Amino acid sequence: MKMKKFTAMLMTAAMAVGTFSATAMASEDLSSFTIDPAQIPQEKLDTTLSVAVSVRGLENPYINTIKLGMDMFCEYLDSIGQKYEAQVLDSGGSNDEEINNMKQFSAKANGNAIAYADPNESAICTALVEAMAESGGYIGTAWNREDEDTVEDYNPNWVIHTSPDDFVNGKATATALFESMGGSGQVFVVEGLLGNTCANNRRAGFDAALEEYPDIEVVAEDTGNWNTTEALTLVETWLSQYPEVGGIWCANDNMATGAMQALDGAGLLGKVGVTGIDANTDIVEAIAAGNATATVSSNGYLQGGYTLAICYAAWAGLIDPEELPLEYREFATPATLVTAENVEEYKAEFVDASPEFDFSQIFWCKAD
Amino acid sequence: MEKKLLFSANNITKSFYGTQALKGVDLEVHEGEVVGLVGENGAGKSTLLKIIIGVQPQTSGEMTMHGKPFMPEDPMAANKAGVGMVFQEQSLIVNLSVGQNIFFGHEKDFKHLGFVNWSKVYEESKRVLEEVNCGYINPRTKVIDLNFATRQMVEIAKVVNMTKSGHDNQKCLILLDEPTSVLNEAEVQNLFTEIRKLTAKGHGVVFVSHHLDEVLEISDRIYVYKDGENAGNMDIKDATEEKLYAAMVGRETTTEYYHLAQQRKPDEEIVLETKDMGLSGVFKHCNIKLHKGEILGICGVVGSGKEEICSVVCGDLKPTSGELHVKGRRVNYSSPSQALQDGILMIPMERHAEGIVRSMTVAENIALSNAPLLSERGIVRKKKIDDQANAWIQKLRIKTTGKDAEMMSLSGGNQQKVVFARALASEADIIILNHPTRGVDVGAKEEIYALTREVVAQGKSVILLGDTMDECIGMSNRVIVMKDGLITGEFQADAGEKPSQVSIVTLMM
Amino acid sequence: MAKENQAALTIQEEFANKIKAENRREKLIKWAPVLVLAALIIVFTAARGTAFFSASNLVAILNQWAIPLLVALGLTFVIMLGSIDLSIDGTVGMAGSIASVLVANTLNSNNLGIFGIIIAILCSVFVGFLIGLIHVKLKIPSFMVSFAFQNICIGIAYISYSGTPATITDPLLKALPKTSFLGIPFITWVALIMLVVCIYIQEFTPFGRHIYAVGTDETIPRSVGINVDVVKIKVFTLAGLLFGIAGVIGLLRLGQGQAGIGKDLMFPAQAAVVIGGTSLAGGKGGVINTIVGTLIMTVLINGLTMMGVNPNIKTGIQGVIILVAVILTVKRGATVISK
Repeated sequence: MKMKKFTAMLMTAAMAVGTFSATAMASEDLSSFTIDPAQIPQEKLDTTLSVAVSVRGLENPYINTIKLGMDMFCEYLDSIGQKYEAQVLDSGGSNDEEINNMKQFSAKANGNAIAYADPNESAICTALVEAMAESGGYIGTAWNREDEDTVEDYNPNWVIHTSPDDFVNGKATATALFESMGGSGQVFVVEGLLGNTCANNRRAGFDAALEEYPDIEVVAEDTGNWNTTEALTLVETWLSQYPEVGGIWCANDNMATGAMQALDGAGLLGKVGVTGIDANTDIVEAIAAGNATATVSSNGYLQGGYTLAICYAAWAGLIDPEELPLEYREFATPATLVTAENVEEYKAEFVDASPEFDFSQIFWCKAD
Repeated sequence: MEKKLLFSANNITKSFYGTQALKGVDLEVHEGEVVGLVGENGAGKSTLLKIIIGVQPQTSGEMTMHGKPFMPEDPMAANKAGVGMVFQEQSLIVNLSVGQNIFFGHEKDFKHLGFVNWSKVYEESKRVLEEVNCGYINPRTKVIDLNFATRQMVEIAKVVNMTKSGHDNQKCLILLDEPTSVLNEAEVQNLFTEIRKLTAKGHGVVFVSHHLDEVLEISDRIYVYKDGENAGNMDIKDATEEKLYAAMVGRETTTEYYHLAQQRKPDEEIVLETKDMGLSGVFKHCNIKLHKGEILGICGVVGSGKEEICSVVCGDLKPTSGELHVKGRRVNYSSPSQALQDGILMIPMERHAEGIVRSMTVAENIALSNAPLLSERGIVRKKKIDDQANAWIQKLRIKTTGKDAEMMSLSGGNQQKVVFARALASEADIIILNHPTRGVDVGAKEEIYALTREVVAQGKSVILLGDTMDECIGMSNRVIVMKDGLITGEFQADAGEKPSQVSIVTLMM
Repeated sequence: MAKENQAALTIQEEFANKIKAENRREKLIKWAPVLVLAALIIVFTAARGTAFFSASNLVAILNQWAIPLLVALGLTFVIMLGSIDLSIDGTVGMAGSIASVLVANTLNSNNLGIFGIIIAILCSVFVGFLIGLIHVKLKIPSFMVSFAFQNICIGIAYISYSGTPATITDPLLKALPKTSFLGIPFITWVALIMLVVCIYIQEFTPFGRHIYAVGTDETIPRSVGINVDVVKIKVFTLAGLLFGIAGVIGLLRLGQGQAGIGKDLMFPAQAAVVIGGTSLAGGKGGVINTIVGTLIMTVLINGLTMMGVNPNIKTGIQGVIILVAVILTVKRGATVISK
C-alpha cells in the first residue's frame, strides 16, 4: 500500500512543482500542494521558530515515533534554511501538565511556534488549542477531541485535526484475528484506558467485527490501561479459566506484549492469536515469527512530521487555514494493517530502515 | 559510720525561655543511700533528674560523681559514669522482647560469626532479671504483652544492668521518677525489696514520688523542693508527713497578688453539675456543682483525674457513667464544638500544642472561636476580625507589633493573653482554665489573674486547674481536692478565709 | 448485672481491666488480616469454584504475588521507621529497564548476562542509599526525597532504552519465568528467598531490632548510642535492593524492559503493608504482616478479574474492599492509655 502511494505521489509531484501559490488553492489541487522555499520570506527563515510535539509518555514506542517524526521534519527545516528550536512536551499522562506545558511553550515563542498535540483526553483538546491560539502560533491536533469541537472554532491557529481511524483499525485487527481463528472460538478482549476516545473507538470497531462473526464468543474482557504488566496479569488469570481460548484482541501493542508473555508462560505462544495496534517493533517481529496475528501501523513518524509541516506552511504564510476546505483540515491519516502477509515488506521499510518522507508535500499524509 | 559521697549536685539552676525552673537546688547521695525527693508539681524534681541523666544541660551549677566532675552530654555518657534512670514515661520498645530491650544497643557483645546469639541474650537477660528478683518474667516475651508493673521491673532491670555493665564493682546511682505510679501494693513492696538490695551493694538511689508514705518508708534522707528551690533536707528520723507537707507548701497567699479584693460571692444559680460522673479507669463518683460567677479550683497531682474531668465537661471525652447537667439541662456531648454551643470553653494547658495556631496572626487566633459571629452569610468579614483584634489587644495590653503579628513572635505570657482574648470574645460563659499561668512570667501571671477576676465579674463561671496549689487556693471561691480519681475533699475559700495548703495537700497525696 | 459489678470495682481495677480489654482487642486485630484473606478466598471459591482453585490459577497467583511481595517487603522496613518511600514506581522501572539493555537484547549488542542484572540491581540499591542519605543528612521528609527520585528514576529508565523498549533475547533469562521448582514458579522462589532474608534481618539481627526502636521513639536508641541516621540509611538502601530485584523480576516476567514495569506498584504496596498491620506511625508490624497484606491485594485483583466484573465498576469495587479491609485491620486512633 505504502509503495503504491509513494509512486503515485512522485508522479503528481513532478507535474505540480511550483504551480501553486499561497492564495490560489482549489480543492483538487491541494492534494499535491508543495512548499516552495523560495516563497518563504527571508525574514521568516531568520526567525527562530519553536517546534514541539506534545505527547504522553515517551516510554511508549509508538509515541516515540511521533518524536522521531518531528526530528525528521526538523531535518527538512535545516535543508530549507529555517532557524528553529525543537522540543518534546511530555505530559506523562497528566492533563494539567499537558496544558501547562503548552501554555509555557506558546507564551515563550510569542507567536512563532508550531506544535503537534496528542491531547491526553478529549476534554483538554480545546484548552491546548486555546493556549496556542492566544499566542498566535499554529497547532495541529491528533486523536482525541470532543465530537462538537471543530478546527473552525479557532481560525486560523487550529490548523488541522487528524486521526487514524480507530474504528477502522479496531475492526481490521479484530477481523484479522477472527479470520485466523477460522471464524469461531473464544476470545479475550484487553481494552485501553476506559473512557479514552481512541480506546472507545477501537472497541467499537471490534464490536462491529464481532457482529459479522456470530461464532466468536468474548469470554473475558477488562481494561489493561494501555499497560503491559496489567495485560499480562489479566491474560494470565483468564488463561487458567479458559485454556481453550483461540484469540486475544488488545487495544494496543504494549498490552499485546503482555498477552504474549502470559501465553508464553502457559506454553501457548504461537497457538493463540494476538492482535494489537501501533506496530511496535516487538509485535512486528512476533508477527514475522508467527506468534502474533496482526497490528496496525498508525505511522507516528507521518503524524508528527506532516502535522508540523502543515502548521509550518500556515506560519510561513504559504497556506491560509481559513481558506482551506474542511476536508483538508479534518481528516484521517493513513494506516497500514500489518499481518503475516505483508510483514516482511513492512519490516524492510519501517523496522530495518527508517522511513523517508518528503515534507514539502504537506498533504501527502491525508488518507485516500 | 560516715558513708562515702557518691553523687553531688550544687546550686543547680535551669531556665527555659526566661522562666526559671530551677533557682539553685542541691542534692547529695552517699553510697548505699536512698534519697527521697518530694515537692509539688513544678517544684523542679523532674527537671533536676533530666539534668543528672544528661537529657538537658543545667544553666549553672556543678555536679560530681565518684568525686569527679560530672557533666553528661547525653544519657549514654551518664550510664557510662554509672548513672541510670527509670523514666516516668517508659522507655521500652514495646514490639521487642524483654531480653532485646534489656540489651538494646549492646547486641554487638553477643555477636558470633556475624550472627547475634539470641539464646545467649536471653540467658543473660534471665540472669539480669533474676538479679532484680524478677526471674518470673520470660525474657522472650514481647513487652507489649506485659502489664505496666512488669514493664516497670523490666525497665529497672535494664537500667541496673546498663549502669553496671563492664565494671561490676562500680557503685551506681539509680534515679527512679515516679516508679510506683503504675504499681499495686505488692509490686511496690517488691520494688522496695529490690531497692534495698541495690543499696546493700553500695549503690545509691534517688526516689521521686507523690506518695509521701512510700517516700518515708524507703528513704534514708529526704529533700524537699519548692518552686525550684531547696525547701528542706531532713533525715528520715526527723521526717514526718506533716513536716514534709509544711516544707512543700510554705508560702502564704498574698492578698494583692490574687486580687482578693475583687473576689465576689457567686450567685446561687448552678450552671454546671456532674452527678456521680465517672470515666472508666480514670475517675468515678464525681459530684461537682459550679455556680454562676464562681471560680472553682480543682487540686490534685498528675493522674488524679482532674484533667480528665475537664475533658469530659468540655466534650473531649465521653463519661462512662453518671450524668452531666449544664444550665439545668442534661447533656451528652460528643465533641467540644457541641459543648461550645452551650457556652463551655476550655483553655488548654499545652498552649503550643492545642491552644494557638502558631503560624496564624494574632487577629486570626482571636477570631478562631467566634468566626460565625464575624461572618455575614457565611463569608468572614476581615474588618470585623481586625476591629475585634485591635480592641482586645488594647484591652488586655497584649504586647505585640500589631494584630497582624504572627503568634510565634509573642512571648508566652502574651500568647496566653491572646488565648484569653479568644475565650472572652467567644460567647462562652463557662470557662475551663487548665494551668493558665504555666510558663508565664510573674508580671503576666498577675495580669492573667486580674483578667480571670474580670471574666467572673461579667457573670461567667470558671473551673480552674491551678499551676500551683497556691494559685488554686488564692483564686478560687471553692476548692475541690482529688486523689486517685476520687474527690477527697472540698473547701470553701472565701477571701480572707482561705484554707491552708497543708490541709489540702494532706488530701491530695 | 455487669454494670453493678463495674460500680464495685476500684479505679485501679477498672484501669487494669481497660488495659486487658485493649490487649485483647489488639490480639484480635492481629488476626483480622488473615480473616480478610480467608473471606476473600471463600467468596471467590464460591463464585468461581474449581477455576479459582485450579493449579494454573494458583500458579498465576504466585506469579502475580512475587513483585508486589518484593516491593512491599522493602516498603515494610521503611514504614516501620515511620517514613515513607514513594520512589518505588521509578526504581523498579529503572532496574528493569537498565537490566534489559545490559543483557542480550534486541536493542543493542550488550550481553553481560548475570552481571547486567547485578549492575541494574546495584543502581537501584544506590538510589535507595541516596534517598536515605539525603533524607537524613539534609533533613528533608522522606516522601519528598523519594518522590523526586521516582521521577529521576523514570527519567533514567527512558534514557536507558531511548524510546524503543528492549526485548531480552538471552535464552536463559527468557526461560527463567517459565521455570518452576516443586510446582512454584522461579520468580516466586526469588521473592520467597528474599522474604526469608527479610524475616531473618527483622528478627535476628540488631539492625532489625533497631528499626523497631527508631520507629517507636528515636530518643531511645539514641540514648544507648545507636546511630539512628545510619539505621535509616540502611533501611532505604535495603528497600532499594528489594525494589531492584522486583524490577528485574518484572523484566523477566514481561520479557521486555520498560519504565512501565514499575507503574502503579506503589500505592497497592502501601495498602498491602498497612492492611497487613504495619503502622504508618512506625514501630509496629513487620514482614510477616506484609505477607498477608500482599496476598490480600493479589488475591483480590486475581479474583475480581476471574469473576469477570464489569471493568467500569471493578476499580470501584476494589477500592471498597480495600477500604473495608483497612477498617477491619487497622487499629484506629484509640486513646492511648498510659499513666
